[in-house]
Amino acid sequence: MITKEKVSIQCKDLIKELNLDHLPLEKQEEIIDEMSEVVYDRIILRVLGTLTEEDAVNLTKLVEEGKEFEITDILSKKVSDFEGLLRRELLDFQHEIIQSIK
Amino acid sequence: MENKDVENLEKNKEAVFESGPEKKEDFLKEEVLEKEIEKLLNTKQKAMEIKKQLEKQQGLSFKLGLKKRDTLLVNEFDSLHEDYKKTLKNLEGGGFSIELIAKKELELNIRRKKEEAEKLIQELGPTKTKLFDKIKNIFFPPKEKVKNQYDIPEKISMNLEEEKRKIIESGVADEFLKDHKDRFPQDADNLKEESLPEKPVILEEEQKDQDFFEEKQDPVISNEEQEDISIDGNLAGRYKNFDEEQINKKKKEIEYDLDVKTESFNMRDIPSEEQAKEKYEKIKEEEENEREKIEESMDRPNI
Repeated sequence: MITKEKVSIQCKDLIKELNLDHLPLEKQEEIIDEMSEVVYDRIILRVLGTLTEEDAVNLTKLVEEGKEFEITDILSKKVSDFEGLLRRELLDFQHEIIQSIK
Repeated sequence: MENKDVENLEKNKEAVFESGPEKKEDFLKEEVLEKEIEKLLNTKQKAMEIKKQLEKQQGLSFKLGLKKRDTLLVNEFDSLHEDYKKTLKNLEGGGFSIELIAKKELELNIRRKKEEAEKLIQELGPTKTKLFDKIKNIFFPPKEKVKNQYDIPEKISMNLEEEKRKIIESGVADEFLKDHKDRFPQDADNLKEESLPEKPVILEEEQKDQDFFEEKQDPVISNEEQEDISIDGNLAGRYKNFDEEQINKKKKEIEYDLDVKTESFNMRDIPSEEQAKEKYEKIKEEEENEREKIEESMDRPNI
C-alpha cells in the first residue's frame, strides 16, 4: 500500500513545475500536504470503485482487527497495477492543476 | 463548503477583527484577494469550456468555409479573456504580487479538488465511506490527531500535580488529616513528608566527585593571578582597576600627610575636647622650652 510520503514526493515536483519553489519551505510543505491528501483521496476512491459491497464489509473487518498486511494483499490482488494507478492519478491531478493555473 | 467550515471562518474573522486594525486590514485584503481569485478561476473555467467547443470547429470544413464558426462563442471567449486580464491588472494594482496570486490560485484550486473528492466519497454509500475513512486513517493519519494523542494525558497529569501542590501548600489537607487522624493515621505523616522539600542523598564517593568538580570550577586564585586576569580582561575592567588603584594611592597619601602634620596633635587618639586642649598646651610649652634653649645657645659667644 502506498504511504503519505510516497505521494508527497510526487507532489513536490508539481511545486517546481508551477514555479512555486520560491515560497518558504513551511508553506511549500503545507501545500504539498494538501495536494497529497487530495491525490490520496482520489486513489482510495479509485480502489474502492473496484470493490463490491461484500469486499468492503470484509475489508472493514480486517481493518478493525488491525490486519494491515492482509488488507494490502487483498487490495493488490484487486488492483493489479497499483503503481500504474498511482502514477496515472498523480498525472491527472498535475494536468488539471497546471491547466487551471497556467 | 460545509456549515462547520463557514462557522469556523466566521469565528476566525471575528477574532481577527478584535485583535487590531492592522490585522483587520490584512484580513480584508486576504478576503478581497480570495474573492477576486475565485472570480478569476471561474472566468478561466468558462473560457476553457468555450475553447474546447471552439477547438471542435477547426476542421477542414470550417477552414474551407463550408461551415461557419459560432460567432457568439468566439465573442464570449474574447469578452471572458478581457475580463480575466482586467481582474488580473486590478489585483496587481491593488498591491498583490504575481507570485502571491499564483499561490492563492493554487490553494483555491486544491480546495475545489478537495470538495469534489468529498462529494464523491459521500456518493460511495455508508459501508464504503466507513472503509474509506479507516484506510485513510491508517495510511494517511491526520497531524492534529497524532499530536493530541500524546498531549492530552500529559496536560491532565500536569494539572493534577499542580492541584495537589496547591492543596498541600494551602494547608487545607493538613488540617483535614489532623481532624481525622483516627481515620488516616499514615496519610497525615506521608503528606507532611511530601510537603517538605526532598533532601538529596549524597554518597561519600559522590561527595568527593562533587568537591573535585567544584574545585575545578572555582580554582583558588592568587593575588598575582587575579591581577593578571584583571589586566588580561576587557578594557573597561582594566580602566576600572587602574582608577581604583589611583584612588587608593591618593587616599594613602592624604592619610600619610595628615598623620605627619598631626603627629604631635592627633585628634583621632584623643577622646575628649579638654584632654585635647591639655595636650595642646603641653606641646606648646615643650615647643617654647625648646625655642628658649635654642635662643640661649645662640646667645652664647663662640669660643
